[in-house]
Amino acid sequence: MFFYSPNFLVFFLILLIPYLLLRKQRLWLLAAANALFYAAHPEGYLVLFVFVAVLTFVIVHLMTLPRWRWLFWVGIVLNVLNLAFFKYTLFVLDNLRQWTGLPLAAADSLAASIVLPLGISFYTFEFISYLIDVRRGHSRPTRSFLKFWVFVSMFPHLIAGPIMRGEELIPQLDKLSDKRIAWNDIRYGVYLFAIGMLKKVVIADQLSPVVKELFDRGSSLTGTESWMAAYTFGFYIYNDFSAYSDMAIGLGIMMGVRFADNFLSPYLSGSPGEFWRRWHMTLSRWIRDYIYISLGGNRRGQLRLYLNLLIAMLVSGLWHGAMWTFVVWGGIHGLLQVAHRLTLGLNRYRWIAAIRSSAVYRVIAIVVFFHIVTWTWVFFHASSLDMALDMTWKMLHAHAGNILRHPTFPLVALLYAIHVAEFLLRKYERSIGRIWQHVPFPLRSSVYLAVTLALIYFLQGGKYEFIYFQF
Amino acid sequence: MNSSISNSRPLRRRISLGFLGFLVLFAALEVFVFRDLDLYGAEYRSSVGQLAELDYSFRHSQPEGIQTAIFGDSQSKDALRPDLLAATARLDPSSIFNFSVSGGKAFDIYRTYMTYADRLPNLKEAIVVVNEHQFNSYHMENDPVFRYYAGLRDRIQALNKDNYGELLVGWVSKGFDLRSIWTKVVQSYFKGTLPKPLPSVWKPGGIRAETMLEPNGLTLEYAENTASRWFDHYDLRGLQTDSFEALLRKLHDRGVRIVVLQIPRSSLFEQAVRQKYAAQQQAYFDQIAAIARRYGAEFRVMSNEGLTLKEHFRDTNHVNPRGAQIVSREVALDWLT
Repeated sequence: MFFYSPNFLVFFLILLIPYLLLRKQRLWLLAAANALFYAAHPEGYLVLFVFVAVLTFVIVHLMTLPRWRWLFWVGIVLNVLNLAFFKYTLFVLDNLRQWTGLPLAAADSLAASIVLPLGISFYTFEFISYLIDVRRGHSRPTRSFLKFWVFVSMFPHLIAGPIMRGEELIPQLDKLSDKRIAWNDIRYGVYLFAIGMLKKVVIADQLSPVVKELFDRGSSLTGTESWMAAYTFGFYIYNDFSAYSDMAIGLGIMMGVRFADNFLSPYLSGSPGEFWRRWHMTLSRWIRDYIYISLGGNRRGQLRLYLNLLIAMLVSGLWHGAMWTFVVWGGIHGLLQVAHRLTLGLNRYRWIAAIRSSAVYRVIAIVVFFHIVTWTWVFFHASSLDMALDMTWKMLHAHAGNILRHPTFPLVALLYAIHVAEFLLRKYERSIGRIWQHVPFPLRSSVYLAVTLALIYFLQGGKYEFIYFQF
Repeated sequence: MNSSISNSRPLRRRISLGFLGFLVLFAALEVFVFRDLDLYGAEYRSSVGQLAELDYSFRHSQPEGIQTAIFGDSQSKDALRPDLLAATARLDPSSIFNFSVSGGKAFDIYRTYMTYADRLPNLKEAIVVVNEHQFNSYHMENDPVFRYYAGLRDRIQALNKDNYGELLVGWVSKGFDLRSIWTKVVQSYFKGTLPKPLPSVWKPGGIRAETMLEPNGLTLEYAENTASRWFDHYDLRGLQTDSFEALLRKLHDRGVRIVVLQIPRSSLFEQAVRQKYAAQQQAYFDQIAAIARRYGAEFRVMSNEGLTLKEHFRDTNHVNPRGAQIVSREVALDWLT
């Protein structure tokens, strides 16, 4: 039951009407709807999810007592093991088999039959963040399991984020029964949902076969084609994943809950640090607050800072999937962060700092860093490290003229233009909204109709998936 | 119990004119475009578009003169041709009309009849051509003709946990429901591959029969694939069988003489069915025979004796024009003379 499927539309409308009318029952409605939503997915292991939620809730409460503080570690280990078992067992056994030659991870073994429960990577991070926040004193544990359950399981963010924190969501849930949901909230939610759906259906789903066709060709790709594969995948994954976040945030607003932003036009970043403040922002801050800072952050000297950055990004890579390609992808981003930090030292020369603050430098930095990020996607999506390295080698030898003349390049340019347009739209949406209200209503109605028809037109195959569901 | 939607502004400001205008435009599009058969008829080779061809043919006929109606799917469309039937039975060709539609299942056939029932005042005889495929209710919601005809009650009968959204949203919006059809019309229009408009001089009697030989259509593999498509997840209980019964009941109630026929398929096809799906086929025979008996209809499975694969079929379960001459002749001799 994915957001833009008709099943979800019916589910949501059935939920929304009593939700708007019966304010005092909102939490119960949400709790039931979340469970139903999760159970409706074939990989939704509801019993496991509820079990881990109950255990974490109990541990959080007990560990606030001085003699039970050690339970914090039980909670962390429990959640990490739960994720590791489902996500990394096969990966570990497979690597052990390759290194030792022992007959591990056979095709008919238990490990090979493990199915990754839907959303486990996301809800595990939310449980862990809650445990740590309570331990650090940043959050007061809620006494209501109902609120705790709604916090971790709230269906818009359950399967693919944004990764929320208790301190952000639970206070909103405390006020949910008094919350007045204005018509403007509904409109703004629908607007965000429509943007997400357009990005998913009109862009990502149309790019998907192009990406598949290119990556399926593997080693037969030329350098120019490898760039095209990387470009198109970069826009595909952005439009697919950010679409999910937009829809989730839109749905949240329609229900009177504000989720954290997850994307901010990441391909307009001029540095690795900026990229991670614009790409999957809720994961980035999770990694920063619970891995990087826990490791000491920048408080233990330069060398340790670089090591911490590298470790944090390796964890981020591994979180995405149990494959070496993801680990290397994370490692590359870690090295990029380290390299960028090293160059920051050059700012002590005023002329370098002056150049860096100029508009021209900013544009060049964005173009260069966009291409670096585009290259890293090769490691994210390639079926093996060998393939990624092969594509990398060819990309290094590609001729810029051939790239510009390639028939797919205009599409890439168009996608970038749309990316910039989206940035401008979101940045100035208040002003645009005010102007929009002055547009004659027949024109506004016609635009709404055109958007609806475009969505129906592109909503073809009945295949409703998001790439981040697999993580 | 009060609504929590803010009431701070007057209603006309809260619900914007742009939104109301959108609703009006969308409703207009639904009524005048997406529910208009002519839209789909622009591509009359499609499953829903063929209904426009059928309607076009019907408008060129003289409904008061129609005494014999044929109901079925592509098998009867190809095999039972009004001109051939009339020639053998020495009848006026315009007294016979073939309502068969390609891919038609029992529900589609029943609803096609209901569309024209009131305009057939002198109907005396109905030849209802059946086969196993028509009665399989499994995933019937994927059939665009079902979607075109289905009302809310029909949809509720076909609902399950996987398709409820498609069926309910599709009931509200035909534009959504039949998107797989109209988007192809749009694509064909822009590619310039829409078929030529239907000729203004039209031989009445129903949709034109298919005469082209199906590529690889005379092989065992084709027969097995067709059998598998017909019988995998075979489900005789459901709306299809109910629709067949409703068709016979309606015809019987207005005093129409009914013949239920299974017309000949090639030996290769029969062999493919018998090998893997004998039990399902028997259940189908029993079901049809019981329903036919209930409404005083004769049920006959026609033999394929004398019909050879290469000479008389265009694929393993559809006759070619030569086969049509034989089958039409036999049907006319047995039931129209």
